Parts: sequence; C-alpha cells; structure tokens
Amino acid sequence: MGKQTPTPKSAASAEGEAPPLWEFVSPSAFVAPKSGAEHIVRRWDAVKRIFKRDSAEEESPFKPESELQRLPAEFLQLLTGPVDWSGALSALEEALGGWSGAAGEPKVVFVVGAPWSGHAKILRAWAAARQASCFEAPSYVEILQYKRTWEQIPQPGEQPWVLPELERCYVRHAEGLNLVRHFLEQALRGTYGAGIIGCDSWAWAYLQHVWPAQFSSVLTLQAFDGARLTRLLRQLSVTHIRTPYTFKNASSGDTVLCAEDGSDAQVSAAMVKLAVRTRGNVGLALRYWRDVLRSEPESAETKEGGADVGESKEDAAPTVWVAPLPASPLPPADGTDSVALILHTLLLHRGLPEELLPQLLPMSHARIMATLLRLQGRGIVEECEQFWYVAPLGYAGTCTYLRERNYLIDQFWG
Amino acid sequence: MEKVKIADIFNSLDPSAMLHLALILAVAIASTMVLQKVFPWIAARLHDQRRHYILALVPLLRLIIIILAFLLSVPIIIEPSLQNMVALFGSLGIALGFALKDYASSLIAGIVATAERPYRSGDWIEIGGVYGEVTHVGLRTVQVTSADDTLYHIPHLKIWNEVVANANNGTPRLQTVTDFYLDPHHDGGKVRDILYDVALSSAYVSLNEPIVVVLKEKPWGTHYKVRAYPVDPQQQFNFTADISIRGREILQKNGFKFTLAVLDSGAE
Repeated sequence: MGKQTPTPKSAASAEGEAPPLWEFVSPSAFVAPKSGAEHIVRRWDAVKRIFKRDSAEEESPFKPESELQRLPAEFLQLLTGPVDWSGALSALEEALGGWSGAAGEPKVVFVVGAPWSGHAKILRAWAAARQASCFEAPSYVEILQYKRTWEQIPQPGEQPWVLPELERCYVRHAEGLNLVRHFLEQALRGTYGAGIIGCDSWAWAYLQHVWPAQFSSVLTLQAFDGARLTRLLRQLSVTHIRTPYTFKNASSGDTVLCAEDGSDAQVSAAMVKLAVRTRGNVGLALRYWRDVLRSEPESAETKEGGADVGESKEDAAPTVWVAPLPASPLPPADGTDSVALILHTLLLHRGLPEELLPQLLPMSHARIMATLLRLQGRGIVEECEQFWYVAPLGYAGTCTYLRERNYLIDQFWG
Repeated sequence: MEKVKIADIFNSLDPSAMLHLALILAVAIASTMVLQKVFPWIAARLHDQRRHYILALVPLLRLIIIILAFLLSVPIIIEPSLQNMVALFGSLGIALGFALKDYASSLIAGIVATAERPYRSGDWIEIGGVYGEVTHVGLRTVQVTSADDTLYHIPHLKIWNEVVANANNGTPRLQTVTDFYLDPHHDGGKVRDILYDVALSSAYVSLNEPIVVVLKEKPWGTHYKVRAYPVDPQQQFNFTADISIRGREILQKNGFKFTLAVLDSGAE
C-alpha cells in the first residue's frame, strides 16, 4: 500500500504468470467473470421470463438424475472445505502494504465484499493473526435507541482495530441511521485511530446514500474466474483426503476438475460457467459446487479419508460426478410489491431477525411471514435461528428480479 | 371546365374489389387488436424503462396500420388522380366539419398526441381534473385509470385548450410530495432531518433520485413537504402513505405537535 491510500498491486503483472489465487483490489478493478455468450443468454432468459407462466414447480431447483445421488455430508465436507484463509490474509497484507494509519495515510480502510464472499471471515482471521482488536456490531436495540458509544474502540496510537460487519451497525429505519453516521464520521476523522472496516456490498451501496462521503480507501476481493476456481477447488479436494479424485460432468463425462493435474491452463467449461453464474463470488461458487457433486449409488458408501466414490471405466482414479448447475429459483411475479420489498430489505441488511421486519417494511407481520414462507418453499430465502436470509442458490434470481425492477443493487451484480 | 360529380370519382366495386377491401379491413382490424393486446401484455411483465417504450409504441404502430390500410384501400375505391382526391377529401372535410366536428377534432388530436406525446401509456397524468395512469391511447380518447380504479375516457381534443400535467413523462421517475403540518413552535432543522431519514429509510424510495425536504411558514403553522421518488410510479400512493405513517409516528415520539386546524385558504 502506498503512503496516501491503499493501492493494491496488480498481481498478474508479469506476462504469462498466473494471477495469485487471492487478490485484493479496488472495487473499480473488480472484473466479474464473463463468457462470450453471457449477454445473449441473459437477454434470452429475460425474454423467456416474459412468456413463462408463474409456477413454483417450473422454477424449483434442479432435480438430480435418478441414477446419481448426493454425496454424504461428511464426505462432502472433506472434499470441499473448509477454506484455508491464509492466502487471503497474505493478499490483504500485500494490498495494505504496510499501512498503519499514520499521518498522511487514510485512517480507515474499508473491505467490501458481496454476500458469502468471505470478507468478514478474512478480517476476523486477520485480526486474530495480528492480535488486533475485533469489534462486533451493536445490537439492533442499541442501534435504534442510539445508545452505542463505541467506547471499546482503542484510542489512536494503538494498532489497527477491525470491525468486520458494518452492515450490522445500521437499520434502514428513520431512527436506525444516526449511529452509523456518527461512527463513520468519527472513524474517518481518526478519532478511533487506524481501523479496518468490513462491509457487505449491499449495505455498502445503501450507506453511500446514508453518509455520502468520498471513500478513497476501499478494497475488495478480486473475482474468482474459472482458473482461480479450478485451483481453489482442486486444493480443497486434496487437503483433507489422501486419494485424489477426478470430477466429471454427469451429462457428458468430460473432466471438470482433475485433482492430479497441476496445469493451470486446463480450465473446463463447467468451471467457467460456475464462475460466470456466481459473478466470481468464491463463497457462492462453493455453495453451488457442494450442491452439484454426485456419486453413483453402488459406490456411495464412502470411507473417510479416501474411499472410492465411483470409478470410470477407462481409468482407475475415483470419480465424483458433477451435475448441471441448478437454475436459480426466481421470485414470483405476483403483481404486488411485497416480494421485492422483503428481498431487498433482507439483502440490504444481509439478513434480519423476524421481529424486526415489521418495523422496516410497510406491511403487517402476518403478510411478511406469509410471503417469507412462500419464498422459503421456492428455495429463495432460508431461516436460521429466527433470522431470515436470501438463500445462496436463490441469490442470482433475486438479484435479477430486483435489478429488473429498478431497486438499488450492489456494484458486483450491477 | 368539366364538372366532376362526386359519384363519378368512385370506381365500380365488383366482387373482387369488395373482397380486397374486406381483406384489408380485416387484416387492419386484426393487427390493431393483436397490437393492443400483446404489447400491453408484454409491458405488464416489465418494470423499467422498456415498459414505457413498449406502451408508447402502441398508438404509433396503430396509426401506421391505419395509414397503410387507407393507402391500400383508396386506389380500389377511386381513381387516385389529384382531381379525384381533392374532390373526395373536400367533400369529406365539409361533412366532417359540420356533422362530426368534435369527433374529427378528437381524431386529429389523437394523431397530434401520437406525434407530440403529451401522454403515453404508463404515464401518470392530470387532465380535466382527473389524475391517473394512462392505460390506453385510443384513436379518439385516452383512457386513464385513477387511483380508485375508475376508468376515464377523455377525448384527445382536450389537448387543444387544456393543461395536461404529466408526472413522469415516459420514464419511471415520478416525484411524490408528502405533506406535514406542524405547530410553529419547534426546531425546524430537527424536523427536516427526521423527515429526510423517514424518506431515506422507506422501502419504496428510489435511492438514485434526490430526496428534498422543504418548509414554508404559514399563519397557522409550518408546512413541510417531503419530495422523493418511489422505485416504481405505481408505488406513489403507498410511498406517500408510508412516509406519512412513519413520519407522524416519529415526529410525535420526539414531541412535535401537529396543527389541529388548517384553514383551506392557507393549505397548499
């Protein structure tokens, strides 16, 4: 990082050199993966939606082929995760480039990421590695009553602090905005010293209107294109299991991912498609990846640590089959605003507790719940401990739905 | 100079000519009906600028169909010489001018409205004291559906001498104004900030458009206006209702008092 502002380096500077797996860049340098036909496909999908009858069955997620079955949860966990964030920490360190918030440097650096992209986890891991203070967001009651004083944050002179979830520090309510305004003002003035603030991209888009300052020091994780995803998923597949697996397309039999192949040049069309579908969002890509892995019934009894899942006839390497990407379920076009308002509100806050929703939406609790349960049935939202979220596999359809209706959307999907 | 009798300019219409005319008429009517069904059906499934473009195409395409049908029919009915055309249109003009003056005026105004576009389908307009959404621009009338779901048929001739107020003018941008009337003894700056945040935090607000809170002192108190844009023009009434409900609640919670009576002459 430079002396004045964070200036992440372009890691792919050397010609012919593969870019690093993890890379932090400024949001303007974010490049969403694209395929040549993406524009045409998107237009064609939009045309199809005009003539398509609204039906829950038609829009339900992909149903696996009868001859294949999902992998057991334990084996799936071994094969696909958890992600080792150490590479991301190094990338963040490199992007920060020795920044300390000293005189002449920005006091605060923002790390913005799309939902599930892992920016909050990276910041927590970074704080733990640096033994920096990591602050959690105030409660919703504190936000609405404007009671939080931020006294926990250290005074200038100590090492940088971390606030990983700025999206949890505001509520889109007339009484829920002043606390975050006050915090941002004090943070940018340097009252709290140097700090790193993580923020979800949807909340970030909204907060630009709540506190319309010029944020110069903003970083984001570079998109995971097909090549990066190939490398990451290959790493994950051999981290916890001794036996290297080959991942093959369940429809065509083509190799999607080969754990033994070290060449970065071989990026399958399926990997490119996955990167395009998820707009380079690594967390979202992992969710899709876990959703499409299949095994043959006779070889489904896996032994932890490397038993066969399936064997193709022509080689001895055990095979995991990759089903087609499921279609992202689309919210129903029922002629009312309820669906769009609820989904947009959930995304702006990266999920909300059930009891808070009636305070933020112009409709009754009963109507909100009826809509949420309907959306849950379609796989568009999910509930976890009284919190409602947009489901990962429903995210793409939701973004398209909101964009078509002129709602404010985040910069990565815009 | 040879006098031309009107009856002489018409061709004799044999069965073949009659069939041609019937075919042209049938195709024109069918095309217009399909156009008027399909385009609004597609537009109803879109929610952005494309909706307005598609709706605006309907009267234009219908006019093109009518002109084409007319151009194809005239040579069948008459010999299309200059003399015959002048005689026919002169006679038609006199007849329409006397007998169907207003009807003809509305038809001509409809053509002018198609070209000048003071309103298009999807626009929210006020004309002759009626405010509502333009749902159909016909040959003679424009159909406007008000907020209480009443359909008004307003003849196009109104555009000759009445003011047509168009709130969104073919775009999704439609400004709404929400009024608050407060007792004059209060902190105006704080009220302005509260009302700004009320609009900013509305689920309906379009964040790409400005939010402005203005106020004016009146003999009976202070009149606040919150000017903001909903995401979709069709949300305008829900939007102002939302701002009114939440604004009133928060202002009352903060101890601000509303005026108990507003003179009609003083309110705007």
